[in-house]
Amino acid sequence: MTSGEQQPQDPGDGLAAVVALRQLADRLEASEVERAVRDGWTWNRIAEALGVTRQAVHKKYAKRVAAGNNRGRSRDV
Amino acid sequence: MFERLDAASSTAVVQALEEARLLGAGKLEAEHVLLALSRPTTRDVGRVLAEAGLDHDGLRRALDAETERSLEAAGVTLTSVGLLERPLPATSQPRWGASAKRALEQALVIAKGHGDRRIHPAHILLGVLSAGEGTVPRALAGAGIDTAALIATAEAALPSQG
Repeated sequence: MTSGEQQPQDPGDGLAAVVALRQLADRLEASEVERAVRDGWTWNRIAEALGVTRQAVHKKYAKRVAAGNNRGRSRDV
Repeated sequence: MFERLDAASSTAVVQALEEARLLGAGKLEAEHVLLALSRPTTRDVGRVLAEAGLDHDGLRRALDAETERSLEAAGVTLTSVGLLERPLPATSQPRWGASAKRALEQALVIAKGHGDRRIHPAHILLGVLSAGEGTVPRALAGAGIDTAALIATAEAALPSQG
């Protein structure tokens, strides 16, 4: 792991950071939606917090969250 | 293009979609195709990759390292956003992303160039390796892989060379 010092970046590094951040945002969204559902948030409230429609968030995550619950919360591996 | 895939290539494409799904990805990208090719079930090509240090686990490590490096360039770490666990698998079929499409299109061009009627997994590997930019070339460079040497070994594994 490198230190946090500022290094001159070429455009390839900057563009790769964009790709990595998009993927990270997707992962973070999945993880946070799942947590919200677990904490008893309604799909309406989650959708409002994310600034999307209830249909969009439900369509994307309802099955995934159910599958996650069936796995018995063994996510710490 | 899909009707040109031989049996092993069809299996690899199905496996690639599964690799993407398991990683929670919404899109099938070139790295998922490469992950599928690195499975031992993709016999010759799996061996070519393993000999270069890119068995399935090795490739996963190289890809994870690339993600970490790129996030770090933006000042972000997985720990800083509380994401330590593996991504949740997606429950829907990933869509085809641009890099995976491109790899398959190139595989077809390469197969035709060698006078092969069918796309063999080695053609797909060459298609993936032909990309100049993107996650795969960056991950391989970061892992110290000699891509030119890997391309030469993959070409030797082509059916037209056998």
